[in-house]
Amino acid sequence: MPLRLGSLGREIEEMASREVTLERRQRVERAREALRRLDPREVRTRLGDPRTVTTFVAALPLGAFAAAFPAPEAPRDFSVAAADGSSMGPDRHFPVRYYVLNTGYAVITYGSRPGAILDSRSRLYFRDEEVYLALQHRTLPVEGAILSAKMAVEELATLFEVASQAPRPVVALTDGVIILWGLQNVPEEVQGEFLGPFLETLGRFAQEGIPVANYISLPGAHDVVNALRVGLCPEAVVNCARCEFEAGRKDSACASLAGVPDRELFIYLREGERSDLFQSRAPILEKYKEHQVGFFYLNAGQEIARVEAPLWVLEDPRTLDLVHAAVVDQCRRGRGYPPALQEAHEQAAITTADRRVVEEMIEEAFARRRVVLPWSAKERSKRERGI
Amino acid sequence: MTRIGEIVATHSLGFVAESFTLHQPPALGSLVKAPLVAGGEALGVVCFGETVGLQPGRRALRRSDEAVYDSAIYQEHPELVHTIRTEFHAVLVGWQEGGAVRQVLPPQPPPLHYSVAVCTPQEVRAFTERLDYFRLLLAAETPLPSEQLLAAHIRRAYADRGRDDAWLRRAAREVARLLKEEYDRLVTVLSGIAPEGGN
Repeated sequence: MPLRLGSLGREIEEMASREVTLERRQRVERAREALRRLDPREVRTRLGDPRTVTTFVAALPLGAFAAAFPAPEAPRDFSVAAADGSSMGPDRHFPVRYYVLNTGYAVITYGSRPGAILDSRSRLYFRDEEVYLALQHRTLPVEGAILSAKMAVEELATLFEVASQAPRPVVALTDGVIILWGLQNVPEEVQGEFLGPFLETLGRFAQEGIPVANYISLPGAHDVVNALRVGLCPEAVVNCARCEFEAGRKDSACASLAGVPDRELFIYLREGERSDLFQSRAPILEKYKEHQVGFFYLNAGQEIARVEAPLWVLEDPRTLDLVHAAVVDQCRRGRGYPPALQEAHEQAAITTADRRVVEEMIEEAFARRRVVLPWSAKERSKRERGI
Repeated sequence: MTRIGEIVATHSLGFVAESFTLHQPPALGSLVKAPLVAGGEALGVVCFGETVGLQPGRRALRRSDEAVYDSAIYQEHPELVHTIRTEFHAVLVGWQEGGAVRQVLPPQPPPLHYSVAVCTPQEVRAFTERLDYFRLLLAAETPLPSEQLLAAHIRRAYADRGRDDAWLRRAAREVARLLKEEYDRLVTVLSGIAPEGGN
């Protein structure tokens, strides 16, 4: 057994003891207190000040910090559409370069005419222009962040297609695809390649009046806590680059909240209630034009979840209420997690057996043309595991 | 021919079929048929039914509360019917071709993905004229005890034959002959086939 569990054990103990400390509990308490006490107007003013410089991304509070809104009643008849994607490859050890995107979707209609469509779309990409991204001065392989972005574009397009055919009113849910964080650190040219079609699809949702939202279970974001840190800053002008506390004094009001996730703030919400609205200020959103993204936190029954959506969804009380009601209803039906997302995921998943079948189909197609595909020696050795 | 299911596993002794109607596999003990590639139809007795998740590893969870239960659960969760399936198993007891009936295992199992249909009362009558296949049913390895399967089958056939009392007495005598050395199993079958109000 090559994994030495004994030595991991010591580190696991240390990790657990660091997470569960009085100091950490105090941090969370201080953050909750700041949420109750701070005036969102002041934080808004500070975040709007062009002189403000922060080393972290802080959300813009659009309303109160510590408000609670009960879930509106869901319409009698409505649909929920969801999409999720998964990929296979590209595999550097396979002799031909290709990848498969599988976009699963679910459209569930509730009320007087209940029904459901669960299905997926699978496509294999192999052409040069599909497996490589040709930029002005160089060519990048489609993998990692670029592949994720491509998958996000496909997912949103499929979601729009199935949601627009569903009985209205309909709410479209994505699993992690609204703010394309992955594009933040890729060249601008690459961003444009994917943001173009992505925003175009968001525009179609807006045109059709279909609210689209991203549901995040166990959210790890800190941007509301970061907004509180901006509010707590003792300086007249917030500028982390010139912070005198940064160096030595770790107990500054701002640093004492660092690392607390937003979800710890909103445990005061009762089941079904949502927080007020916040606007995300993730750098990639500078390129989102009219599709700026906001969010709220929600007590989904078993956890505090985060729901992100374009501001045109959140600022219209009708679509905001519809999203809020539909998500709460989904979580009630799905024991804490939306069944539409769960089923879309089930449809998207590519099993190990599926992967093997695709590889065999490719090998066979080449074999019929009298070409034997050589796996890399490394991969063959891993598969044989000879002794 | 009314198709009721599609074969999803098949071998020389029997087959498994996915039922076209959820929760309603054919009755235990009923006679079903499936085409044979070489001609004719394999005949089987339904010996097991179950409703399970489509994907292995997905377990059913409790969905009911005080207001929503039984069929209302399916209204509240329209996706459920797409995630589960009803299957039934049948043991082969014979085959028929051009009006002739044979009470031995067919030369090949019925092909995968072919249709399963319930036998008509006429076919049941024709097949159950001879009772040699009781031996096959008693020897079958099925999830339920073979004497329970045989009793269920005799009850179904008795009904399909229009409550044919003479046939039922003949079937009982045949069971008594086959199980003469196994008193407990014999009693199980006989008490399972006694017509209502009689013994």
